[in-house]
Amino acid sequence: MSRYVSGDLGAFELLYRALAPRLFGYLLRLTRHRERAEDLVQITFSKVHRSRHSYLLGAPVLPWILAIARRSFYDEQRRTKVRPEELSGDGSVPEPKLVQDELDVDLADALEQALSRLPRAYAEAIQLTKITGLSVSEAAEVLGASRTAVKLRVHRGYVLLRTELERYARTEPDHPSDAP
Amino acid sequence: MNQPPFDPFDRGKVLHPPLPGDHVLSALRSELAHDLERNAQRRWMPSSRVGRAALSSILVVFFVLATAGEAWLRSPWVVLGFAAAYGMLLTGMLVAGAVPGRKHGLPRALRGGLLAVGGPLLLLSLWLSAETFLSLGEFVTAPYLHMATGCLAHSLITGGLATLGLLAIWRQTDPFSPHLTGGLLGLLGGAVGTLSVELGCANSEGLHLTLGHGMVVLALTCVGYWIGPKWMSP
Repeated sequence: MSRYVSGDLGAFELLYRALAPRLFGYLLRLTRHRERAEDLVQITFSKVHRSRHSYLLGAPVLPWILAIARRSFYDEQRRTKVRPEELSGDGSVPEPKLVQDELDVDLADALEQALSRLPRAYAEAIQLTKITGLSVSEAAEVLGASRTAVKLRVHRGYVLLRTELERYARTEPDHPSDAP
Repeated sequence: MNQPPFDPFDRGKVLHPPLPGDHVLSALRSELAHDLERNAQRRWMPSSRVGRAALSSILVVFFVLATAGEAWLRSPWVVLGFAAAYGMLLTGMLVAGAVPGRKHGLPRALRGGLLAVGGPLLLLSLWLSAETFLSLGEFVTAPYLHMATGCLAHSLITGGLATLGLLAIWRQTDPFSPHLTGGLLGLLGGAVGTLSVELGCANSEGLHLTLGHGMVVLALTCVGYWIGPKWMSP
């Protein structure tokens, strides 16, 4: 980011490749619509480019970009008054596609379904801390909440997720409860 | 023995994020290339925030000079003192970390607290510094109301210039809490407005000080808070 701010525009592609997947995953779970998420990724990086000189060098980049993305999402929602869930042509709700190498297909799908059913505040807190990899403090900055509030949301979201995914806990091969 | 609770996010079960389409990067590359051509010559403003703050403070000082009477011209140190005070306010804000994202910035709760108490505290201090007090019925009659309106207008213009300058200098720096930062910048600009009219007005009546000199702080804090998301967030 420092090189990009200093004028090295080749650094932009490195920045994009490093951050776009996590940004896109976050926006995809917010919008529940692939095209809108891609549009928002483009809008976010456009804003990052236009405001790169106002970036405070030394500040963490990912929370900054996620905060811009989140604001862009809510601005767009206010402008268009579009509901976050949109149906595809065959009437089903499109799910975010996952890249799965080590992940059990059923558990991944179940986890996505369970995340989509959580209250948005809990789902965002869990996504930022557990999936995107932000610290609690950074997630609190992005969400505009206190650290305590974020911890509480993550905890409550986890309780709900465990309840929903309980059957996977009982049948999961690495779980100690299945050991002889 | 109690087993640890099932964690769907433990090692080996992380949800790998999907990738956006290649057309997104292609569109961004085009936009960047176009932006380079358009902005190649836009370097007439000083690049540092300190430089731009100095420019905007000169603008404020010129306005004060233009509206001052002869008394001010006989005491140039008052004007210099005003410019120095503006600079000190700006420095104080930088040091205090009004704009988040800095390594040692103020926490959100403290910034919110400053915003909540800053304006009322200033009004209270103006009220307590008053030497005479009129009743509301007396105050709303001319010439008292006319004098207060004049001071309020002067402080709004001075403070408004300062607030606009501060907002422009720190534009697009805060996507996290633009309302808070905009409000704090409005509070500081309002304080500049109060200071400018305090230096030039000898009236020490309570309602005149509170409404004519101090109301600008509340007004510009609200303006900054409202305009924050539009200016402070990229």
